[in-house]
Amino acid sequence: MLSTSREVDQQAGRWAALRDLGVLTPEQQEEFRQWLSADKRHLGAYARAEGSMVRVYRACNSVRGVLSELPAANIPSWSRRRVVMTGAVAASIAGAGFFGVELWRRSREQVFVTGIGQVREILLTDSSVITLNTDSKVAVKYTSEMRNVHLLQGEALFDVAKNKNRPFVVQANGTLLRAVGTSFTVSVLPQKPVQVLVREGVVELRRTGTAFAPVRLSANTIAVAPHDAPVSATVIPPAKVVRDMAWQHGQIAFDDETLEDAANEYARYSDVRIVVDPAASRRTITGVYISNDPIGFAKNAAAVLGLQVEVNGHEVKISCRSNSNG
Amino acid sequence: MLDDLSERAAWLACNVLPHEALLRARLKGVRVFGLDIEDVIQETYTRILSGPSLQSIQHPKQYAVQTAKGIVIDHVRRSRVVSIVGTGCLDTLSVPIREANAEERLEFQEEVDAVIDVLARMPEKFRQTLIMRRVEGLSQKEVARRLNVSEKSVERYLTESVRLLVTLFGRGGKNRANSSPMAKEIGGEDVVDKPGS
Repeated sequence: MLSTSREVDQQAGRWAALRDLGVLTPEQQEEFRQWLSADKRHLGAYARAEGSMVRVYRACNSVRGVLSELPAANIPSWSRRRVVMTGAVAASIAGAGFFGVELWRRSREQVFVTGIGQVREILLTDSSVITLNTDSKVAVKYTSEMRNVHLLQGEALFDVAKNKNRPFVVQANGTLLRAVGTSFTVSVLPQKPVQVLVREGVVELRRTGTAFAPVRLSANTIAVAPHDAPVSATVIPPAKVVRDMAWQHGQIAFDDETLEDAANEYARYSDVRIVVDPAASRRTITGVYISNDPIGFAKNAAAVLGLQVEVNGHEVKISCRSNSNG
Repeated sequence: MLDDLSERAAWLACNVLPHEALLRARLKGVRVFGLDIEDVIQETYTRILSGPSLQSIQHPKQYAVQTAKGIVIDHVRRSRVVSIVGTGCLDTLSVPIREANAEERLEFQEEVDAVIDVLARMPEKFRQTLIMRRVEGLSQKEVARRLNVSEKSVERYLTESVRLLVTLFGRGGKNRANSSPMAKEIGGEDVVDKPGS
C-alpha cells in the first residue's frame, strides 16, 4: 500500500517539473498540497528534487573559469537576445552554452578562440573536451551523425568521448583526422605543416585532394603532414608526449632546443619578443618553463648558458657577454 | 508551507544535499528489519525542513546525520520485532564534531565538479531540457520548439531529468570506480568512455 522510495522520487520529480514549468491547475495545486502531507517522506523527497535543480543552476551560474569564460561573441545569436539582462543571466547562458553546443541549432557552427597566452578548456555535449592553446581558433559543428571540428589556427588537444556511431572528425588545413575515442593534439602554425600528436587510441589521417593513402596513427606517435609530400610519422617516447603537451598546464618544455627555436616558441605565447644574438642562437636549452613569462625564461636561460639579458619594453635581448673570454 | 517551499528546497540544495552520499554511506552500516535507507533519507529531509528555523542550523551535515539517526531510533522503538544486524551499529551514525567541522564546508569548487560530473552522465535530451529550462529559463513552449518535441514531452523529459539528478547526485559523483557501471546503464552512448581506462 505504501509507495516505495523510488515511487516517491518519481512522484516528487513530476511535481518538481510541473511546478517549475508553472503548469499546475488550481486542482493540481490542491492535489500537490495533499500529496505533500500524505506521507512523511514526501516533503523531503520533493525538496530534494527541486533542490537538485537548484544545484545545477548555482553551479552553472558560478564564476568559475570554464563555465563563465565564454565571451559574448561566442554566444549564439538566439541566446544573445537574452544577454541584455544582467551579468548573472549572461553568465548562466554562457554556462548553458558550455554544455549545450548542440542545442544551438543542430547544424549551427560554434567558434571558440583564445588570445595570446590563454589556454581554455571547452566541454562539449558529448563529454568530449577540447583544450585550446594560445592564439587558437576552433569551430565546432555537431550533427546527429558526425562530430565535426575545424581547427582554423593554433593548437588544440582533443579528448574524444567514444561513440562508434558518431565519428569525431578534425579538419585542419587540408588534413582530416578521424577518431572514435582517443586523445590527440593538432597544430596549425604559420609556415609549418600540420602536426598531429597522438596520446591515446588511434587516429586516422588523410589529406584532402591528394593521392596519398590514409595513415593510421597510434598512441605516442607524432606525424607531420606537409602539403606536397607523404605524411611522416615517428614513434616517440611517452615522456616526450607528456612534455609536448605541457602547454595544457601553462608550461613549455624544451629538450635540447636552440635558443632561436625557443624564442620562436615563446612568440606564440606573448607579445614580448625574445631576440637572440646570432652568435648565441645555436646554443641549446633543456627544461620546463612558464609559457607566459618570456622574461623569466630569458633570464634563466642566460644564467644557465652564461649569456646576458637586456629587457627593453616589449623586447628581451639575449646576447653573449661583452667581455666574455670563452 | 507552500509559500516558502522553494526557499527551503534551495537551502537544502546548498547545505545538505551535497552531503547525501556521505549520509547514505553512514546509514549503510545500519540494518534494521523493515527499514529502507532511502525512506530514511527522504524522511530526514522532511524533518529538517519541518523544523522552525533553518537559519539556526549551524552544522547542516552533522544535523542531517543526527536527524537520520533519530529516525532510525524511532523506527526501532515503534517496531515490535526488532532485529538489528550487528551490535552497536547505531554508533556508525555519529560523526565526531571535530571531523565534521573540518569537512563542514564542502568547497564550492567540488560542488561545481559534482554538477559537471552528473550532467556529463545524463542522456543528452534530458540534460538539454534541464539546462534550457533551469539555466536559461526558456519557456516550455520554446524548449519544445528547440528540441522539436511536444510540450507534453518537455514535461516528461524534465520529470525524468529531475529523477536522474536525484539518483546521480545521491550516489556521489566522485567515485567513478563504484558508479561507472551504473553510468553506462543510465548514460547510454553519450557517456564518457575513454579507451584504456
